[in-house]
Amino acid sequence: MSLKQKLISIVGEQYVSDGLAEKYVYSFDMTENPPKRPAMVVMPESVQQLQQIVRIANKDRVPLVPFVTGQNIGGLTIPQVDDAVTVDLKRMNKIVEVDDEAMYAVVEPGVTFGHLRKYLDEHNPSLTYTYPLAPPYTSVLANALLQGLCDLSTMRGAMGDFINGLEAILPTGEIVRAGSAIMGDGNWFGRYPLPDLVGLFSGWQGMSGFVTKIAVQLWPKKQFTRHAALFTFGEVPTTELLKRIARAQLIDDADCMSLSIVKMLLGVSPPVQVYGGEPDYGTLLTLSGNIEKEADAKYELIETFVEDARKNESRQLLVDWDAISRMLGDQAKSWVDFPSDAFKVLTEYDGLTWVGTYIHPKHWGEALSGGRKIVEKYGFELMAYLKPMNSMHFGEFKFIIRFPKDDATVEKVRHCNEELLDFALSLKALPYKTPVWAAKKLQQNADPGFVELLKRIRKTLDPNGIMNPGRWGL
Amino acid sequence: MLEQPKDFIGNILAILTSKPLARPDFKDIVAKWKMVVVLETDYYPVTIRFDKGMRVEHGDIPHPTLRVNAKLSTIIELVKGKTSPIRALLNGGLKVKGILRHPRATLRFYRLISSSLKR
Repeated sequence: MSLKQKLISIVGEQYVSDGLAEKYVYSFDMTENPPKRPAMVVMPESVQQLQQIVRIANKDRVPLVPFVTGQNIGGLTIPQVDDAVTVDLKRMNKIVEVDDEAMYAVVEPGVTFGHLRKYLDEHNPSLTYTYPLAPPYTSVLANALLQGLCDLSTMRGAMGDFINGLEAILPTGEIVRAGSAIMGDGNWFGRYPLPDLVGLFSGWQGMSGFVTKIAVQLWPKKQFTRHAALFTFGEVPTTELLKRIARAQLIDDADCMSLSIVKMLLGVSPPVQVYGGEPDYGTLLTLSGNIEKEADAKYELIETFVEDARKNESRQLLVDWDAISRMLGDQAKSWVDFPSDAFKVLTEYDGLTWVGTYIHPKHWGEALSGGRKIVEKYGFELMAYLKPMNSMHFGEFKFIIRFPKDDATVEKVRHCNEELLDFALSLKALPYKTPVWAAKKLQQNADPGFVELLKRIRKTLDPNGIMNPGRWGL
Repeated sequence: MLEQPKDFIGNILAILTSKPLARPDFKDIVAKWKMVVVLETDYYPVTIRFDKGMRVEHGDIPHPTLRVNAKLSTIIELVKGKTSPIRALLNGGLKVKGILRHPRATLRFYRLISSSLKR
């Protein structure tokens, strides 16, 4: 029996394809990473079906590439080897459980941010999850496992920190659990006190198995949310002010972006240029309170920090949302929605990329000014993005590039991104949602013991090397 | 009526004025104006040209019909309704050069701005 026939016997003919059109669709993403076609695409519906697929692949040594929506900016679902089978998990889309008391949700891979939001609004309205810098139709599970950022990251960290536990199919076909649900269902409250085996799957980009269920923390929905905009000049003054605001634990979220991005949201046509005298950065601040007074008090404190900053640069400006709504009109909402609605401006062309890194706060100013010089040298639009993370313990920064995918521009993007990453690595920043080329550069700079440990764990879990081979350059 | 400006303050002006300029009667009136206003801010100056419509450009020009000076924070106070153009003129937050030489242009610009600031 051929591999295709075996897969059809598991999921049915409708959910297996080796057609040219399907292979093409699954061969690329928006980034400059080189495309590669899988040999076949299969779409299981259940854990049992997926387990059977993994067992066959392990026996026949067939490379498997996990896929949900393919919206990442890192080429993460592009096969790296020949004859790979892309396993599209979007049919596994059950919200298994929401626990209102311990505030968590257990979901399958195909559950999107949109699904979860709708479900919570209907069934658990006092709770909220979060949304990523991605469209609402991206996977909750994939974003958490890839340790991405979200609209609660300034306060609570990367989405990987929200994982309470998971269920996974190992490359050898066994089903395992990590976290408190090792004691049984209805008990996904946390990861401790245990050896933290979530780490065998979080950040691995599907190299260690298929995660079939994940428990993620939910949060109480605050009654009052306020937004404000901060317009600032200079990389160091901007980041110093942001650090002060974030460190005071006043904000749920801060999205600091080049003013060009704000202008894009206003509808300025490409290429968006920087004009002398414009603020360098526009930062959207989100703060909340259980009562209005709490939110107002937080805002007042931020005002005093900005007033202090104005002693050195009188043009630093905090603007409340009522004024922003009048000044920016309908586009003010686009700014608030930017993280989940970003793609409407970012997909001006068919290409979109960035090198996202997590970085020590002491390097933020240098990272923004150095990265800016690189982007300007290559002549791309200036689209820096910085977010204080996890109550100011670190930050995320990146330079976003939107580009037409002609050969010359793609080559220029590759050079620019390489230079940006080299610069970030020189500041000891760590790339996240790492494309293969970036992971290889990281390994050249990282502690060799760490790289050796990765290889050893991978070999132990996946002796036949079927799970996403070539990913991370391992 | 208004070509989308490429700069930040130009865009803010475009959005603020879009409401009164959406009224056909007012749009026709403005289309007949012929004057140039430079708005100097603490960020940068913009030039607003009225000539068969309205166009906002980044930068300054010599000898405009009117030269208006205001900090962006004052413009925001105006937008929020915390002050009025007249009050801002009286307390020095808003300065206008050319009032005496071009009273009609001043009145026209005031009319546009006050209609734009209406809630």
